[in-house]
Amino acid sequence: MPRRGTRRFFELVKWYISFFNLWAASAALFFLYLLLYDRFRVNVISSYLWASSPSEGAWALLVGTAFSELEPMVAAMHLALIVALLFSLEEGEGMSYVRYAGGAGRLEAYAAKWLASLALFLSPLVGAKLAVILSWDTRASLLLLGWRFAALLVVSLAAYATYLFPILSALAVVVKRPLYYLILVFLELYVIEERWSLLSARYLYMHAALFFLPNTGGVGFFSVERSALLPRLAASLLCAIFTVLWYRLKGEVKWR
Amino acid sequence: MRLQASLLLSLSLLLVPLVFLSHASSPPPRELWLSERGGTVVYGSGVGERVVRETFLALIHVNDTVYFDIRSSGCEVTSYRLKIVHVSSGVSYEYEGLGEPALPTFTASMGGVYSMELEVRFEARGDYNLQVEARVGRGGKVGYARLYLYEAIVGCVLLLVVGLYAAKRYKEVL
Repeated sequence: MPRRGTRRFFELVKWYISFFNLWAASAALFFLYLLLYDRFRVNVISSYLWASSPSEGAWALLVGTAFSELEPMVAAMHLALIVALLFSLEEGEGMSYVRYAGGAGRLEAYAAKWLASLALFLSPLVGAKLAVILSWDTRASLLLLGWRFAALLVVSLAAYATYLFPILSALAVVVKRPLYYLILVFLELYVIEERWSLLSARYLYMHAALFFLPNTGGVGFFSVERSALLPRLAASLLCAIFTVLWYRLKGEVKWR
Repeated sequence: MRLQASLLLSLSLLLVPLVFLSHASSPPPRELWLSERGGTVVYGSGVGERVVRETFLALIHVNDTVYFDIRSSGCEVTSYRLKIVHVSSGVSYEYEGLGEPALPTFTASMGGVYSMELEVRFEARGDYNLQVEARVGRGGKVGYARLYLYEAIVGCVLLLVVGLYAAKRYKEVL
């Protein structure tokens, strides 16, 4: 690629557009999330006195109302598809050779994939939430104090994605074939979501994780009880350790 | 990769009708429960004048109406004061009344979050029970329907123009 000039610019544009499918899928998910929210939803809460000012309370109410019952399930499927793209499909497409040729190790790629999954997961979800909030109350964007709640929401969702990512990616690393991985994940999501399941009641848990509670002032991931949170975080951590060990033991692929 | 990614895209697009179907067949109960009312109950015993202050925060849209409701037993409401503020623009409305009140209904002239402070004074006579409640009724949204229609028409025209131009260029190049 030329170092500078117009040709380099167009080469970069070409490279950017080559990810068109990804942008298109992200846009589709943005609209999907937007569909989940009711444009004319009304919500009344009383005694919001935990908020230090009405503007904070207003943002808390807005963020709390921008939620749908179906959203956790859709978000989990969204993240599962992203992990499929980043782990199962890239092996088949020879992207791991590109990584190897570029001189990056497997663990670095794992970290990069985590960041990529965060970006791909958060951008449509948070974008849709903000879009619906600003369509409800455009002037609320001027209430700077309240943006704290939007930031907390983003952090909470990022924490949630970080919790789910190692579990899904460990499965993807073991199963390899995207189809089998997707079948297993969706089976897990639909069928085994009971209290006694291995990753115990992720769906129920997600309600708490994604749901912002305006009455208590608790924010999503941080408002979950500790007894529910710790085993899941431990499971997630174990999966991450497992993936790292798996990479270490298998070593680098021998390219011929 | 392209093929697989387009498969993923079509899969995610498939979710759209599924979500519609799901919404239509079973409206999520929490959403129904979350909306539309908030309130408080005060009870106690004693004699003399007392005050209840309740603050509501409501997300409502244009033409939605908020009804306030006071149900009392064992006491007599003497006066009320209601202050409604549109939080993000600062526009405020105030209502006051004496005697057994027929509380005003408030119809929103613009959408957004309203903060509503309701102060009720009442004369307690022994064991009393006072319930203060705010409910929201949805107003007409015909204006929005018209807006969406205009937007759809403009979008279609734009799409058509861009498509025609692309087709023309395509013919010229090939």
